Amino acid sequence: MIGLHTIFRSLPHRYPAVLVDRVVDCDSPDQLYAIKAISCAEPWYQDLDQPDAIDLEYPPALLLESWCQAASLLVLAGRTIAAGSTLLLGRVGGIRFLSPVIPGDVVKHRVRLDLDSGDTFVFSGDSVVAEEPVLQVGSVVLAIRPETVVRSEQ
Amino acid sequence: MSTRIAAALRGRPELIASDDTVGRARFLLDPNEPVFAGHYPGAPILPGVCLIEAAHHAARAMAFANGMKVDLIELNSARFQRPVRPGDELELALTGQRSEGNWLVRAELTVAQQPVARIVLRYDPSPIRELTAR
Repeated sequence: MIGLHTIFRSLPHRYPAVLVDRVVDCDSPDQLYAIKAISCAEPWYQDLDQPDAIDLEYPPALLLESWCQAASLLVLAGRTIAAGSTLLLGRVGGIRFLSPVIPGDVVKHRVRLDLDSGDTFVFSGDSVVAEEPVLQVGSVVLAIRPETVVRSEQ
Repeated sequence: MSTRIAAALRGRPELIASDDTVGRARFLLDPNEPVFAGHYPGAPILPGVCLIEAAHHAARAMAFANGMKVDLIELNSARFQRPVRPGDELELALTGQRSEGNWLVRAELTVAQQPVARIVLRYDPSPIRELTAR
C-alpha cells in the first residue's frame, strides 16, 4: 500500500487538487488500483448550503481528474521524470459516466497501461464504488513534455 | 437551472448567444478559484478537466435556453492544446446536433483566438416539462 506521503512525493499537486488518497495495488508495472474517498468537506461542495436544492453528485470532471492522477502515479512509480520535464494530460476519449458518485462513496480506480512509448503513455480502465461501475475510461493519454510548455508564457 | 451543483470551478461560463445548434459562451477565470492553489503551488494552470467542465456547463446552459434538460452520457473526446492560466478569458464556440436520439455537442475553446482545447460531449436530452406544459 502506498499512502499520501509517497503520493505527495510523486505528484506536484497539492490541496485541494490532490484527488487520490491511497494506492492499494501497484505490484504490476502496467496496472494500478487507487482509492479516492469522496467527502463533502472538499471545496467543490462549499456553496451547497440549501438542503432542498442540492445535487450531491461529485463533479464528473474531477472524478476523471482523480482517475488521471492514479494513472500518473503508475508512470511515476516506475521512473523519475528528468528535471525540466513534466507529465501532462494530452487527450482523453470514450469516457462514460455510468452512475453518480456522492460524498461518502469510496471510489476505486482501476488503471491499466496499454502503451508506453517512453514519453507517451496510453491508459484505459474504470472506477467502481462497492464493485458497481461508476466510470468507464476508454483512453487517457499522458505525455512527458518540457516544463516550458506550461511555463513559457508567464 | 434551479438545482445548484457541485463543480470544480466556482464560476460558470456565461452564454452569450445560442439557438439549438450553435452557441457561444465566455468565461473569465477568476484567479481566486480554489483549484489554482493546488494546481500547482507557485505555478497555477487550469487543470484540463476544468475545460471539460466549462464545456459541459456551457452545453447545459445552451440546452436549457432551448427548452432541453440534458444528462451527460459520455465525454467522447477532449484534446488539450495549450495551458490556461488564472485571469484568462475563455471563449467557447459550441455546435449541437441530434444523433440517434442523443444530443452531440462539439466545443472549440480558445483564449485570445488561440485554441486551447477541443471537446466532444454526448447527452441524453429531454424536454423541460414546465415549458412544454403551457
